[in-house]
Amino acid sequence: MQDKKRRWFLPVAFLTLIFGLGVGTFGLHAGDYAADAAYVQANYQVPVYQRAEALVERWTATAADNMPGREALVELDGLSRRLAGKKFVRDIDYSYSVVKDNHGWLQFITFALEPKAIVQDIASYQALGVPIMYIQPPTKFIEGYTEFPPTLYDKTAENVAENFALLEDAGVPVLDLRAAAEADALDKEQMFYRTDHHWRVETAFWAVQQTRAALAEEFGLLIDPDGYYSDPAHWQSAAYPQSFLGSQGRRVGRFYGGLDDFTLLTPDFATDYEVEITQYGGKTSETVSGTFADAVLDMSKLSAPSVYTGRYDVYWGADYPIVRADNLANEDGPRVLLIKDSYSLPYGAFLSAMVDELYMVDLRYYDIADLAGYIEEIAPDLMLIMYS
Amino acid sequence: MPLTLLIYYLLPWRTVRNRFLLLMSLIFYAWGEPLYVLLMMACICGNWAFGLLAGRWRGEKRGMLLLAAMLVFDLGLLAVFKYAGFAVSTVNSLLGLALPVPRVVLPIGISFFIFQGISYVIDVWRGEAEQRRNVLDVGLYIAFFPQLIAGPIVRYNTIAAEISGRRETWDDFVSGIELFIIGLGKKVLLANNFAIAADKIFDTGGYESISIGAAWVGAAAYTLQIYFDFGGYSDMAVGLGRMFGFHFLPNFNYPYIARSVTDFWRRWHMSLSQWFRDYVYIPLGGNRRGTARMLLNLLAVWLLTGLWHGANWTFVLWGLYYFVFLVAEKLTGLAKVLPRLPLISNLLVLVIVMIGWVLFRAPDVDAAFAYIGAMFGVFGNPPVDETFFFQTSENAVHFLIAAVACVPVLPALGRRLAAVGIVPGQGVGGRVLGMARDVLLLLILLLALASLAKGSYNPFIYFNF
Repeated sequence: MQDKKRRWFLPVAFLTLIFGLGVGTFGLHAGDYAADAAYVQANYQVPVYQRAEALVERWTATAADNMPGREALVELDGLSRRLAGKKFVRDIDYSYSVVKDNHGWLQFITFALEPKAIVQDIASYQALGVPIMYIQPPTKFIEGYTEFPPTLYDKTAENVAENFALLEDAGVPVLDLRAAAEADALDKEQMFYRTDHHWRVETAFWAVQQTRAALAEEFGLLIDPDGYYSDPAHWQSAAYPQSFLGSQGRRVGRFYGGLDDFTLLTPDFATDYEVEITQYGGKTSETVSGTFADAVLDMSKLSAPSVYTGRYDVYWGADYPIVRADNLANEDGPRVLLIKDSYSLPYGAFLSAMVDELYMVDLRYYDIADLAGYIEEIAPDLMLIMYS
Repeated sequence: MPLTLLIYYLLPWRTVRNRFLLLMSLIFYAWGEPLYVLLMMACICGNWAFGLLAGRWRGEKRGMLLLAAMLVFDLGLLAVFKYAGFAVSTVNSLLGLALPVPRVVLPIGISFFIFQGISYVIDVWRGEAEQRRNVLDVGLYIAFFPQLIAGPIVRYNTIAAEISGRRETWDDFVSGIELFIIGLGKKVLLANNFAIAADKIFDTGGYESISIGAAWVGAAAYTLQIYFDFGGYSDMAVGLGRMFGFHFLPNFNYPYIARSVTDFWRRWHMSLSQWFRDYVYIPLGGNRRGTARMLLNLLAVWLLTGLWHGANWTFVLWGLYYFVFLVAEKLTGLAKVLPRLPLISNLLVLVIVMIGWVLFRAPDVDAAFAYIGAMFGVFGNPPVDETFFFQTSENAVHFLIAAVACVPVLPALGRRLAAVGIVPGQGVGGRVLGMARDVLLLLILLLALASLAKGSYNPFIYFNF
């Protein structure tokens, strides 16, 4: 005869776990699922069964986001993979699979990609008469330094080479920060976050210094002529040690890839900004006025205790279709259009201190078909493309 | 699942509980197939009607016509939804035609629920179970969610009595939880892991240049993936069924310790082989009409078994592959000799099975033969390469765990401990053992949930079924 004590532990634990997960995932977020249903009803003018399929897909994604204790489970999974010696953590979406390279850094795999539309069609933007410079940031997969486990291949270098070929044909000047980093002997260990696909904030600051020099050389355009705003001595540094679990780390947990230190750089000089953000769907948010800290920073990204918080978004808060930053303390500076991706979050913040107006357009959320018209509308003095 | 369990046990009567289970099963299926749930309902209604008549016309000549009509209905659905494209492509290839190839989306689990429908009608016709007057009872049998998508194929006569007369017990509920957790662990922690290695090696192509070692690692990975995936789903289905008071028969019995191919097929996907035995092989005469007829009957069974797995010549070849070995064992008496040579026969059967899985996994016949050629260095393949070293080291821990999980080590250990008086839950030693087992099961559950929460690779390999 079975001991009744044993019979209670497992079933109670099992039922508690699945009920807890069920209630937490669905019960506490009923509104999210209702919102999904309303969205599908309003936006999917298709047969009923296709609407049902779309709804199931949205509910599945919502459930994944709302699962209670998800972070703890991710940590447990990462720990088990570390104990099993895994160097490759396959994700349900292959592009988000995480690789541990020869330095123990976490990496995404970059696949062969077509050059971005803006590069392919660069001539049409040159025709608008605005000086253009393409900026290639350093890449986390560093040729000759980074190695993937066998049979896993990164195509960053090939993709960059394809972009360069098109830009060279069009006669667009390129600032290759990979070469600049090599020339400046930047510490490769410190250029990127171990657990995030972005460069460190400090590296972005260095990139702005390089940009300033390149613009002077290429176009004779002097931004920050005295070198005051691009002098790190005039920027304050606040350290947040072991506080950041980056984009790659959030997929595998801290036990698999560790945590990063995060550094916040802020001006140690007077600032006065007016920032206007165009949200998704074209809606413009209210203009925020104030200092760099008021208008550019979203300190909630650093004050939130969870290491799963996207610290990197402290500059500007997130990626938006358009951000217009008017630096009221530098009305003599140029008006710059920056075609960006998320690498430009800190980069754009630092650049904004050296120019009069900075327009940042993120082509992942802004329709490129409207770009030429927008350029004509804002009439920038310079167009920088850091979008790869 | 938690909501289903809660409401089920709060409901008062057997009939109400059954209707609720049917409703949840239909919702479960509609979740993935909002359109094809109607097809399944049509299958339920059709087979219910055939079953009513089968019970009424049992033993009569018109009953045979009824069975024929049922087969046309059920197999016709399979033909349209599963084999139409394959059939037309084959005709085009053979006759050099250019007929438009129908692109029909295969409803998930159609092979399982159609076979269960057929099982219902035939078992009623044979008098092995009584027909159900209420279509909803037939619906529950055919559509019951634990085994709907990936089996096991539940024979109607094995659970007919339980539809109305089952008794949910605490012991069953607990053992159901144990089985469910074990199945979930097999699928998520083992099968999904091996899928990564198998996919990497099989999908890269260029088999002429991969190393022999890498080819065998890929074959081994797929061998383990399909066992733990299929076996895992079966365990979950049996476990879930038990939580609701149903006792489904097990579907796998440590197939990779088989000592003959005959033995392998008594351990692998037992519900399918029993289905074909009872509904195809024996009605055709089995081995009772001479050797030649027996061989024909076996050929029919194995062609159908291969085709059942998918509409591709690789599956037909796979079925024929096993036909050859089974016949060889039968005619030579090897089926009785091999089990007396444990390790040698184990290895031999494992190699045969692994090569069979290559046929099963490969996208087409040419690729299958190329891969098998690589396994034996036919193309001058190097013995090892970086793929071999990487996949071996990357999966070393999982290969080790899988090796233990493929053999009945834990049941044997349990028996040895019981022989010395250590039984889970009894006495100090037993309570420690019982607690250790429960903690391990809980850990498996948490690890599996962690893997799913993280968004790990979770392939669904039953799209052919």
